[in-house]
Amino acid sequence: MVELQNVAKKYTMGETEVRALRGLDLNITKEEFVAIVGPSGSGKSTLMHIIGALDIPDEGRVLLDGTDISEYDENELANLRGNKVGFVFQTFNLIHTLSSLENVALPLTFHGISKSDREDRAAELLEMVGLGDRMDHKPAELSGGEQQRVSIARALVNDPDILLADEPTGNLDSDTGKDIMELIEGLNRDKGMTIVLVTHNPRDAEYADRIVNMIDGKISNGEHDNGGGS
Amino acid sequence: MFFDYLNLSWHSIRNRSLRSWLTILGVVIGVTAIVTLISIGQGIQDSILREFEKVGYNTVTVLPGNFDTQRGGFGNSSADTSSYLDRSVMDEVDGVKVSAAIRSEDLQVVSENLEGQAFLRVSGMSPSVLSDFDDYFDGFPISDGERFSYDGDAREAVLGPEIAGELGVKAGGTIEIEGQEFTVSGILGAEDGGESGQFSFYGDLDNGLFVPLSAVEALYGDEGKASLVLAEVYEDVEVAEVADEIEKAYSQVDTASTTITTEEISNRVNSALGTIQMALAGIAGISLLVGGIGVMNTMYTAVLERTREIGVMKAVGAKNGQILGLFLTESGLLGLVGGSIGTAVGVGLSLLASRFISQALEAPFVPSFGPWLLIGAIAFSFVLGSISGVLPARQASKLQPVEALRYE
Repeated sequence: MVELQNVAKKYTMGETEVRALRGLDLNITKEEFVAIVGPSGSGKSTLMHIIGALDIPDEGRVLLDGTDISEYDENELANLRGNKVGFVFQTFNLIHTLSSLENVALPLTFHGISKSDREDRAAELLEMVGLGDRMDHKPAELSGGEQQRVSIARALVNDPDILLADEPTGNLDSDTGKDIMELIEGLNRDKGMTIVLVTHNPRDAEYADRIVNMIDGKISNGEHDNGGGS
Repeated sequence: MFFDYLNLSWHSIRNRSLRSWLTILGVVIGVTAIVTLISIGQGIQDSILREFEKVGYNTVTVLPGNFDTQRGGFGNSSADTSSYLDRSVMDEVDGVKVSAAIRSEDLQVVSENLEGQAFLRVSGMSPSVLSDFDDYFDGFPISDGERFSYDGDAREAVLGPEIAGELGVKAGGTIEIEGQEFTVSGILGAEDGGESGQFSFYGDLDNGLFVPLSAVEALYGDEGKASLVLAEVYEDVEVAEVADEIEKAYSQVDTASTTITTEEISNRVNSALGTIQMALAGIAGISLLVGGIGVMNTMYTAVLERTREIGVMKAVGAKNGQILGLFLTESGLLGLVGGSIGTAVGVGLSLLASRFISQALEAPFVPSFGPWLLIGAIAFSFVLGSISGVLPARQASKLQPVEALRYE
């Protein structure tokens, strides 16, 4: 499904050059639920951005379904994200001027799908995440957990091959976080969704089939099979 | 797709309500200024053109000498009055349907109510002036009394309202011109009794003093002299060619003459008014430019504020071109709303202003709103808004998704 070969990425923050990824190999198979854990600055987020086609590596190859995307231009990457990837962020990143329904439908807008089809699809997903009665609410009128559900619905609206979740419970209390993790786990278990979870919360990582430990831009030898959900 | 952009833009414009309205206000002021100035300018041009239409484009004015035609009203001109034209020459020019003569002289005028005496420009009019060319005098409207009877060698006069006031006479009264008694048969003016005011080819009718041509000729004891000849040409001939023929005919009798056609004047007036209008529109355009800069400023701020939002849109698959389109639509919408309001306010303002203009001109005045002006102003505002948004929108579209998402 996703294959990273000797991927390196550096960026500059202010005047310091950060070597976020230093020659990393990773293989994610279809319908797998992988948790990437590691301390801050270990390169987890950068890795997720590269898996999610938000960024391209400086070195190495990224194969998505066997296609090398490391040389894709901006529009090709945008297409890929629009068709194959769903993102869930720590801070939800909902557009606060739009209702839940409109937020979920937003990605389809960029695909030129008609308004009624978009809204049908978005409503269906909001029902699925348990927010059937919150469709017209703006993000500010929703709790954190509800907002994250909206953002999960948005991530799924384009029927992606892979769901990328970057600290999805980071801004939630532990009970709500648990609900969200169960929702994500259910997607993997019931619908066979390939999921990459970036977290530094060991309890969240427990849900994954496999935990990848990162340190200093590399995968440490701590990678192990988690034996499925808890 | 466009309507989706419109919907998204509308949401974000409404979300920053105050700032959006202030930005829109900048555009409103510019568009209002342009619509007001152009509609009033166009209204003035139209009303002048209507006067030309009344006189008719087949009228040729002939003046003695090589006359400087830049001045406007011929009646008030300082044409070389020592030379005259012979009206009868007109009878020999092909293409002239009818002609008329006016002889203007500065004569001593006395009235009972005037202390002392005055030298006034007295214009003698041949009968055909009033029968065929009265539009030249704005219809020669009489507010009190009647026109000359042209009855034999009756000594009659028609006075402009202002001069009648100065001389202290009314219709039916008498004045003395060069010692001869003239009956005031009528006072010029609109039917409501006000001053005629309107633009007239002849010039200022309010101060005019008109008598039959024969009366002036009787005072001088000579005939056939005109200081101004009017000719109406047949419909099916070239006015300019007939005008040339007229000049040629006069040169054959050793008289220098200058012909002026209505078309020439109307062209000249049009181009002069056009220049003024362009200058005014240019000044108003500066305020519109400022409005455009306001839109640009607001859009730059919006891009900065919504960097994360842009990152999210890119993360869910928005292409650079789509982000560009979204922000262009938003800035275009600011322009469009501003333009629509500005056009409406401009129409209202010029209607209001036209009441004052009517009072100042002492004539009815209507501003002119061509559909091209209204549609053009609104369309232009949308384009202006979009253009102002190009640079901010480009900046938005080129944001790197990862950096945009990281932006706090």
